[in-house]
Amino acid sequence: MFANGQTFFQVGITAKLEMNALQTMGTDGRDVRQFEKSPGGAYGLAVAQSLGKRLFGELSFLSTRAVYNPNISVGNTSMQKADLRLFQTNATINAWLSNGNFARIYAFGGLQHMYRRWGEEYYTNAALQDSRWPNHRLQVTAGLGVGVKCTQNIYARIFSGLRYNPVQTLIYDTPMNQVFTGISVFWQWEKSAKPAYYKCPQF
Amino acid sequence: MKKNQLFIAIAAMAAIISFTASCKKDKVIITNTGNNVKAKSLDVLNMFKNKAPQKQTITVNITTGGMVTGAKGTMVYFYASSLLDKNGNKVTGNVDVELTEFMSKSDMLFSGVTVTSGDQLLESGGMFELRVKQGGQELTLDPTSAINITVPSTVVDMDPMDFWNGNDNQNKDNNLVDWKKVDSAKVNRVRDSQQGGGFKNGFNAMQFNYFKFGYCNIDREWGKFKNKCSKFRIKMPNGCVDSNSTALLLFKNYNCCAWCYWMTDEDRISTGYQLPAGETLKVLIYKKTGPGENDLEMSLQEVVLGDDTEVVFTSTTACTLAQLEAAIEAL
Repeated sequence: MFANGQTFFQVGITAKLEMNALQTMGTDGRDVRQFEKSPGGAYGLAVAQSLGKRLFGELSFLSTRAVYNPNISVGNTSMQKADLRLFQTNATINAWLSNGNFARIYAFGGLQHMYRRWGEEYYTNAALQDSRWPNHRLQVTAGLGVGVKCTQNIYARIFSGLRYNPVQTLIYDTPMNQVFTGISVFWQWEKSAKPAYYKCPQF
Repeated sequence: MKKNQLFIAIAAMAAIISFTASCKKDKVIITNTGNNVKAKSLDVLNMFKNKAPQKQTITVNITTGGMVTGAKGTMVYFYASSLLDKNGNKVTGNVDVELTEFMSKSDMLFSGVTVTSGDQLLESGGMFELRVKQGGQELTLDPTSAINITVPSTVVDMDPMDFWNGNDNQNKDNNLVDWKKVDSAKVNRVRDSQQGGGFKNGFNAMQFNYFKFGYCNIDREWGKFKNKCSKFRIKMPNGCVDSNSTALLLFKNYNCCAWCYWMTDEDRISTGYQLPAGETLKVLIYKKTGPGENDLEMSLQEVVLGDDTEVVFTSTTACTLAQLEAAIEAL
């Protein structure tokens, strides 16, 4: 049974499938593509802490690879591909939307920081301006998930969401730049809430 | 639940971050297709070299400092003992200040010093090339000193401008300079009723304590924030090929222009720079019809850029080199 009325702390592993999106003109100048075909994987560790009866916070650290194929042509120069190794830190606030003994739906929203560990950008004839993925990037994530109790101490969460980038600096940027889904498995420590303290009546 | 569990978990994650951090280096991989060589197959700039702005050499005694004024109004003030030689030593005595001013669209087109930055076209508020030499050796500005520069504005309005440094254009086309914005340099736009001569549009005043001699530009990004023309092509008349003809374009309402290049696989001329839709563009084409200097034909069209614009030329008119140069100057 889920720990209603209890505080919990979780440490676990997490894995994500990320569908990176881009928006650009194709080589014929008309083809506007919203979603890149090549998916990227991410894996890492996460911790979660209850913040009350309905809320819990989650912090995750993931290593990820993102491959973009913009195929942008500007005159006789073009950019074919960006192959990036990133480190992402996610900080989210999560809210339980339902009650249940073994499964509960939750919504999450928060910030994601991406750090460029290293990467390769491929061009023809010359590098294009505003095409290098930056060293740091702060983005917003939000989505829905389901928390499942597997055993007394092991919990899993399956989630899907969107990533939003408020600042468009790359020539292949699009505001809603990723759809992702993932799974996390946690080991949970629980602490029951203290029983209500009743004062002796004063007469 | 132990209080230090959170700290243990974070410490473990920090260790993993360290473990996964890579020492691999970023790479930029550029494949040269050779297509860019064709862009200069017609030697455009050599043809107009006599009309291109000429370098002015002015001597200044740097021990006392002094003002240099170019023929088109650019003024550079050198403070006393403000220059260093290649070994970092203070320079004394006379130095040669080499100044070339590129103010009009024809100055830009004749010289190839146009307003291209990456894939963007800028609007120029005045450009110049400034170098200082002593005994043939290039000098640099002492970072503990300063330099003052005033450039007559080539645009009427008083919207803000930025300062840009010029590098070689890697596209290897007839637009020779790739401009990079120098964010730390503040351009003060000034105008008052007492101005005359070259300052009728006001002037741009700057003071630097770090200054890289070379190509310098007071420009602004004007097309970057407009809707882009997704495709732009120029269809040339029959008989025009990359070895005998080319095109240039300039904007009617902005001090902005660029040379175009041939896309031989499409048999069209285009530009490697983003163009804003809705703006009026003048396109001039010309063709060399023989080996003589005046074996030329030209044609001009004015178009409003749409999302997908093809400018079709079906014929050209015979002209001399002087007529072609006059046509470019009048654009």
